[in-house]
Amino acid sequence: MVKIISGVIIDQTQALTLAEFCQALSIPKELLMQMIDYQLIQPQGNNPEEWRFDSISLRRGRIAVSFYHDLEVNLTGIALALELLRQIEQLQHQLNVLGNKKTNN
Amino acid sequence: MDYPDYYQILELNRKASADEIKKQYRRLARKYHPDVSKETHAEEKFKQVREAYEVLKDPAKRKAYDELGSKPHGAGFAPPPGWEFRQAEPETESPFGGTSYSEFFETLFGQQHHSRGRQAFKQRGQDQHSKITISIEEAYSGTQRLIQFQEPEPNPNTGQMALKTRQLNVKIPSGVMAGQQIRLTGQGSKGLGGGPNGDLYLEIQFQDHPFYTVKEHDIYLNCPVTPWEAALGAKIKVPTLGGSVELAIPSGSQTGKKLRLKGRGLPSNPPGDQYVILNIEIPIPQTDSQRQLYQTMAREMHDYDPRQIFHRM
Repeated sequence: MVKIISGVIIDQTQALTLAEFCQALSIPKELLMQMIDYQLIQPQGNNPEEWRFDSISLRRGRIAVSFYHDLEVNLTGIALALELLRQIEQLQHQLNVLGNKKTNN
Repeated sequence: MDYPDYYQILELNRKASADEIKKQYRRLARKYHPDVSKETHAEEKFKQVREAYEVLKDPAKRKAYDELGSKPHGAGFAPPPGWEFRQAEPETESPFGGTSYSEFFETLFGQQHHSRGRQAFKQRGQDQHSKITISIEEAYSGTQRLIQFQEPEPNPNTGQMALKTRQLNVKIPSGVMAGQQIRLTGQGSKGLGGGPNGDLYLEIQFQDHPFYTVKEHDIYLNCPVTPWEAALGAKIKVPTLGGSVELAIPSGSQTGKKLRLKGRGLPSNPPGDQYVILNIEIPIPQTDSQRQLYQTMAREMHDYDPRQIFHRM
C-alpha cells in the first residue's frame, strides 16, 4: 500500500514566487525576465519581489521553455505560438459545445 | 534492456552528417512536440527523438554508441563489462533539464550526465513535471491516483545508472481545473551531496466526456429537445455532475438557446455553473398520421418564413 500524499494546488492563493518559478522551470532569472518582457508570462504584482505566478503561468512557462530549447524558437515566435495555441483551445471548446457532443445520433 | 536504433528513430542512415542529423531532429521534434502534435503517442516519440539527437549530435557519444551497436547483441542488450563513458569536456549545462531517458541511455551515458558535482557540491534536486488525466466526474468528487515513474539511480557498487520505479499515491482534491498544477514538495529529483529534493508538479488534464465539456469551473451540456418541447415549453430532466435535475424550457426556444443551472458546475468558491444548450431534433415521420401532423403544421403556419433574411438582399 502506497501512502497517500497531498499536494498544493497552484492558484491565486498558493502562487509561486520568482525564485520558485525559475526553479520549477529550471531556467535562469534572466530568461524569465525576457519572457515577461515579451509578455509570454504575466505575473500578478507590481515588482519582482511581489510577483506571483499561477498555474496558467506555469503551464505557459513550461511550454515556452520546451519550445525555446527543443524547437529552438525565439521569444517572438514563442509568443505567437502560445497565442495561436490559446485560440485553438478556444475554438476546440466551441466545437465541442456546438456540434461534437450530441447525446443521441 | 533494448538497444534503441537512434538512426532509425531519426529516419537517417548510419553515415548521416551532423547537419542532416540536426535537420531531421528539427523536423521530427516539431512533428511530435506533445504540446502541439495531434499524432498518436506523440509524447513518447518526441522523447525518443530527443534522446536520439542528444547522442548523435555529440561526436564522442555517437562514436561510443556506434561501437556498441556494431557488436552482436541479440534480443537483450547489456553494456560490456567495465564499460565507462567519459567525455573530455563535460557539458556545462544540459538543455534537457528534468527529462526522462531510456534505460539504455541512463546506463551508458547517465553516469556522466548526472555526475556533475555529485560529491563535491550540495545541490537541490531538479523540479519535475508530469501530467495526470482524470475524468470530469473525478474532478467533481475528488479522487486519488497511483502514479508510477522511472528515475535513474546509481548502482552503489559500480556507479552505473539504472532506472528504478517509484510510486506515488496522490490525492486530487475536488474542484481541480484542467491546466491547474498540483505541487508535491520534495517529490522531484533527488538532491545531490545532501541537498534537498526538487518538487514534482502535476498538470491536471480532463478525459473527453461523452456529453459534457468544461471551461474552467463551468460545465456545458448539449441537450437534444423535441420541437414541441421547444415550442410549447416543458420541464425535462437533465444530467448534472451532482445528479439529474429538472430544467424548465421556456416556450419558443430555438436551437442554440443557452440555459444556466446556477452552481451546478465544478466545486469552487463560488461554484461553477452548468450551461445547457438546446438542440432541437426533428422526428422523421414514420406513419401516415405522423406525416399528416407535419402537413397540418405546414397549412396552419404557412406565414412563418425562416428565410426572411434572403428576401432583404
